Amino acid sequence: MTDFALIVTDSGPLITLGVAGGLDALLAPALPVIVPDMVRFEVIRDLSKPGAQEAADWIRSHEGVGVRVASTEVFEDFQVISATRSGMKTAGRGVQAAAEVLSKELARGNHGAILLFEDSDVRKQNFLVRLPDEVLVISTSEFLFGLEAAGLLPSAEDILQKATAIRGNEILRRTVGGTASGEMQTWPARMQRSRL
Amino acid sequence: MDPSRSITSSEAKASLGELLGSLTTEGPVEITRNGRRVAILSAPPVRTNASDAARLAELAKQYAGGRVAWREIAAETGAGFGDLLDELSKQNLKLPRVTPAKRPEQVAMFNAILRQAVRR
Repeated sequence: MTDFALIVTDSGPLITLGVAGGLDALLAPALPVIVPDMVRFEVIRDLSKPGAQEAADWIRSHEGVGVRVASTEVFEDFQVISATRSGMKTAGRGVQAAAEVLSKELARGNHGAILLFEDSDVRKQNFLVRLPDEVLVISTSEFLFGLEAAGLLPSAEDILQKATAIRGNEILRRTVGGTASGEMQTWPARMQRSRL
Repeated sequence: MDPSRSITSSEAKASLGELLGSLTTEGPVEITRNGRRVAILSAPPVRTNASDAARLAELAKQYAGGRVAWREIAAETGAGFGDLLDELSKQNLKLPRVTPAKRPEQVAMFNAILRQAVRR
């Protein structure tokens, strides 16, 4: 029997669910949830951002109880570099960290994973068909609708609508911030073998 | 704001330089004295100018229409995903919905995981 884990590949799903008050949906499949340390950093970097506080609180309250923050070399490298360069960009590093975590999980043998992506990013990834059968890439909306179809979630639509519901003055107080980079991540060779 | 780490005021005094350096990599820190929270130390929020905000507004429309990915928006604007959700809200736009291509074995695996969760 293969042991599976749910790996959150970037901050998008956490922020979406955090804003919508639906983070517990991640626990619905009854799988260990792995948040790479780089992804957690993307979330907690600015707690004034929408959904960030909720996601940070959720990770903290569930860490060790269904949720694991996985250490990665990607984040270690980021910390070293950012110590000498202020305003280091993070976008893309979360996915790199997730790839590192996945590689370690698969290396343990008899392990598989669900990789949870933000919807628009998963469309841009052309590696999907090259993944082994025991690794599944899924978008946030697809994940939620899957839970709903299985009877594990009352309404996926409700959560997705709440994520972009008008929040009035709360929005006006926000400012655009954060950092980014356009780096493409490199997936482990183990994942790039084709079974087709 | 509720930081994910906490230190005492004595520790903060002894390692202020290191603490300041860690704010951008580890996030805000709560400082306590006699077991009670007395301060929260945080890096200043990153702000962008009006033209950046206008660009994010335009990209949000493209994002909702499936013409640009979040990663590309982040790379260009430096916005957080929550900022994008805010922009979608302001313009009454919706999140794009994507179903990645899968092999039958992968679909079966997901269904099996969900069935097992239902049985628990």
